[in-house]
Amino acid sequence: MKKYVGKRIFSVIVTLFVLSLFIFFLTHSTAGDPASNMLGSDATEEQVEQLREELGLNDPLLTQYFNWIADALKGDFGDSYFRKQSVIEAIGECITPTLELALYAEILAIIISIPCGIFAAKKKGAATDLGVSAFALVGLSVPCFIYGLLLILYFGVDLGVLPVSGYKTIEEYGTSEHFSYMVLPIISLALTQAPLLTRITRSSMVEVLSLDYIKTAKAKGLKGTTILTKHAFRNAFNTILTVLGQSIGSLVAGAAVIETLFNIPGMGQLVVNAVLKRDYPLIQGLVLVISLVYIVINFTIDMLYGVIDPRIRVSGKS
Amino acid sequence: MTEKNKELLRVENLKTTFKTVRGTVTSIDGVSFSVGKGEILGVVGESGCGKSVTSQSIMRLYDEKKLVTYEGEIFFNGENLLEYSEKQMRTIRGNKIAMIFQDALSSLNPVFTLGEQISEALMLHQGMKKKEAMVKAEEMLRLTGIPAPEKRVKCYPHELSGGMRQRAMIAMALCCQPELLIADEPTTALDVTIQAQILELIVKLNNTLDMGIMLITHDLGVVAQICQRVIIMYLGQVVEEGKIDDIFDNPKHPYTMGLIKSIPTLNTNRKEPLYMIKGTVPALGQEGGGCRFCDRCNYATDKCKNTPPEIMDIGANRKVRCHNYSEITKL
Ligand SMILES: Nc1ncnc2c1ncn2[C@@H]1O[C@H](COP(=O)(O)OP(=O)(O)OP(=O)(O)O)[C@@H](O)[C@H]1O
Ligand SMILES: [Mg+2]
Repeated sequence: MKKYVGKRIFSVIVTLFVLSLFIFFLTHSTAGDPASNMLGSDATEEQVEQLREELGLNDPLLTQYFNWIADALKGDFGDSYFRKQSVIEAIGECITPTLELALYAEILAIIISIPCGIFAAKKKGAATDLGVSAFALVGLSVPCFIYGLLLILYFGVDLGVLPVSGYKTIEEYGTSEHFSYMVLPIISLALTQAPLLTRITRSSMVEVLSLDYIKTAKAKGLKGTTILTKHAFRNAFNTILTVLGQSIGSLVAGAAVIETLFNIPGMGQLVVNAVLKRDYPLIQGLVLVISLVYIVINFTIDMLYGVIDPRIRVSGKS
Repeated sequence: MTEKNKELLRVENLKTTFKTVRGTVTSIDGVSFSVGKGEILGVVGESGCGKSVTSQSIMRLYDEKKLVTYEGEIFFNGENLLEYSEKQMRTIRGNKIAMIFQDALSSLNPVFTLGEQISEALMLHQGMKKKEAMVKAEEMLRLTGIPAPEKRVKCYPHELSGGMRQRAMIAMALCCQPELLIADEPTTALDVTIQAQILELIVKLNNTLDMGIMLITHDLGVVAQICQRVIIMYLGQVVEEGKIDDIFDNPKHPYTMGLIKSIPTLNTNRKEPLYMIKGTVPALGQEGGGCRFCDRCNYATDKCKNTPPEIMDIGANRKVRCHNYSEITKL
């Protein structure tokens, strides 16, 4: 197990290094100049040139990269060009609403889709299964802002029972206020995540249920539900977990869209503004942090595999 | 001896029909046989003749809502299992009737340890607590002759050799002391030495625990070694039944004769090709109107082509399903 963890950590470090290179050169290869953006249209050529010099934008790209990475390793991602704060501060401010939204939505999606998927697999071929599968297929093809818009129209405009814009922290406004603002964004995002998870749960359960050891479990005298939730689900869970990890990307992307729709001051808005203004340090910091979150989650999932599937533990050992 | 002859399981006219996308398939059609208390009954037949379907029908393992319908009767200790509710069946499965399967690796759940898998039945049927059940699981593994059982209880299936896995399957099946053990080709996936060891173990357990065993195999040699009685199946039907010595010394059905002739022995002349029954098993549903074996039979007559033979009791605990058995045996 130790060796398995070691291997995974090593691959995380390599990934991060490659990623940092990629982010840096991608950001700097985009057209547009942050210095002229900062100074506005009536700045003179000399002023712009002077600012470029100050920001280090005239150094060779490789030098800029090493300066950035050296600072980053010390935990310093520089200052945002436009916001009067450091990159770390800016991200710290915006990351909480996003993480909350993503987390709540993913939990809701899991709560909906895993029981639905298991149930559909159990009733394979019956009307309930066809119903669940059809819903999942339709759900999969609807983009998340459609759910958001419909929910806003119905609950916000027609019924007027829920707020449709803004964000309230738990600390300042309390739990109920916090969630009354969050509930529509959460549902919109969860509805986009749930269909895929439902389909995966169903298909991996169907596959596992046809295997020999399920027959063994039945021959032991176990109840149908025990076979389903214990023997089958424990085995199907690996596949579900993989898809869960892979869907983090679409979760974050979805969160950014939903934030814009519901006017939540999260990472989504921060990213859009940073890119529009060519705020290099902020873009780099943001992409790195988002990737880091992605990597950490997938790393955790990889570790979970080892816990769930004894066969993986062994292959790490050898 | 009187105890031994008492009937444990009696299957009467069992017919198992599957619903498939291409219509219904009757995999076994009117199978009857019995197993006595403490007896080892061999069930022999070529691949696809319905041995596994018979055994799994006895435990009613198929999905009855969607897949299968059973007809006939399955008496276990005098009670018809086909009249049992699913809940009642659960008190039989793994408790009174247990089963071991051909491929132990795929039949064991990869994510649970042997201990966890064996103790499950104990907790379910004997109301044991986890700890107690684990101790008993280790004891069962020891009984099957697995080396270092105290370590093996904590092992996962993939960490064991094929022979050990099959022993673990046996431990799992026997932990609640079932009255009937159905072993569906328990040694087919193993090499000859391990095969012999497992068979020896089964015989030993049969003696000490006094349970009835239904040993399914396509290897007549195995049957000759350990069974008292045997039924020969062909295409979903029993074609011959009798005591082991009678069947080997004096087979009545041409199919049985063919099977016995095709067992290679050390005396077989290596230059001669091995005997094979001509043709192959026809697909289910294409049996035609007459005897199911007639296309492959050297002795088939017009009657065989048109009238399906009934199974006949010919005395001395023997049964045969052939129109011409008395003429054939004289030849
Ligand atoms: N679930 C099922 N649905 C439809 N047909 C089935 C099903 N299970 C078995 N059959 C059919 O029943 C017949 C008998 O199969 P069975 O598995 O009992 O053979 P077998 O004698 O055990 O063969 P083997 O020696 O290969 O194990 C086969 O023709 C098979 O196609
Ligand atoms: Mg079989």
